[in-house]
Amino acid sequence: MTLHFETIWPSLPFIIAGLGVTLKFTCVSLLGGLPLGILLALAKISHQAVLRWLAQVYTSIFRGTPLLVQLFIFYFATPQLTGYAISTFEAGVLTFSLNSTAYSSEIIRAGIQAIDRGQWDAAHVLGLSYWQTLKSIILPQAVRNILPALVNEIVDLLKESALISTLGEADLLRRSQIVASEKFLFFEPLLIAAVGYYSVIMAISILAKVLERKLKHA
Amino acid sequence: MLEAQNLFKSFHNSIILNDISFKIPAGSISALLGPSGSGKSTLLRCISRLEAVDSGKLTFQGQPLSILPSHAIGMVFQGFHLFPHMTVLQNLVHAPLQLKQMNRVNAELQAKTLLEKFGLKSKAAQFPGQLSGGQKQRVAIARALIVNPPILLFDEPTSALDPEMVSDIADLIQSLKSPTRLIIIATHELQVAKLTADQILFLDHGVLIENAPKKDFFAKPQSKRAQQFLNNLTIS
Repeated sequence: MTLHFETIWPSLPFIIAGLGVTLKFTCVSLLGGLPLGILLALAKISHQAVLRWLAQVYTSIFRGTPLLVQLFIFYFATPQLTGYAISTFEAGVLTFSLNSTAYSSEIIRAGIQAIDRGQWDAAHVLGLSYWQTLKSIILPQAVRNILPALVNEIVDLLKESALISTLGEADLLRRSQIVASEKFLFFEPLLIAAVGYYSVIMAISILAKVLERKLKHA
Repeated sequence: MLEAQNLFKSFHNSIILNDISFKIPAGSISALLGPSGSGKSTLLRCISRLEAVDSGKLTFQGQPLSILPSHAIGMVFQGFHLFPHMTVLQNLVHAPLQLKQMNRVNAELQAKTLLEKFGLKSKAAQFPGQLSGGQKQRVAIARALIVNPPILLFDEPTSALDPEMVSDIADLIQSLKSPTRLIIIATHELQVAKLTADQILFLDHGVLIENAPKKDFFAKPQSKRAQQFLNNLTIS
């Protein structure tokens, strides 16, 4: 077995630049997925049966179909159904956000429901509204409990963003494939991509651990 | 004066409060006494507006309780329900600040005065998890008192604490008595009722069986059920 990292070396900046694209998809999807996840979680614990049912159907659809199928539907079917030429960025961010909403809503719902009912009662007697209670009493406690699960969801989102390469978006994976086909070397560029993903995920995990420790002491 | 007229409340077809009527004057301490499941906690939750009655009227100084501002009623819960992610000081000032009932300077000044009164001055920056049961309860009382509510409710104030602390709690509750404040304590602990209350409201199976001054109730309960309850507790 011979490895030719020296051949790949000049392409390293090109591959690593893909990390920016990967992070852009992950961060924008997260910005959409987390707030929507909170709203969907609230719908799941709502007193309105219709809201609860709609939230369950939503989650069931996004969890029950492959992410790649969802991505293809958003990318290829949107122009057919609406006449709008959706970009790969829009299709990717939309799919990843909506998919992440389904998963994060389950985590957030469990986190909210794990908070003692007495916290709601105490806030209610003090005169705090539903939203004030949620924002300042329930969610801060829930986030502390669900932080590890939320970090898992962020890590999943980052890894799943590699699917965008199937639409030709020049992310970390796609760039390593381009280099692979140019140089007829596969292991080396793909290894670089894998190390790129792994490094970012490790950095996120370490940050999460630090945050978790800080919250624990607070 | 807090007045209840013909209160009814049921959960899943089981009647919890059955035609309850009473009047409690300002400046007094009343104990809702009764065995577990008698409806005293539910009655307290209805007064605190955590539960709505199915029918009947609850008024304070002639006004329906439902239209009173939030700072009219303070409640100290059985499990205290302090906010664990906030310091003791934040627990006290959070709601008054959010609801713009006080400015920060006043709220913190008032909170510190209360903490000092309850011997908790040094605990202001600590979190509830770092406090003992008795300290948590005093913080919960301070939190309820910061807006100086004319109605103050206690749900089973001794059940989460060391039995030796019963008389301390009773003294503390007594010290909160004021001509402008009405205090109601739901308890199944005779000692607390004896040490603090002016009036006893004895409930059983959702029915208000007796409403009498403390002296009369303990000396000569009118109903058989109250006699039986007192006998059982005295024997045990």
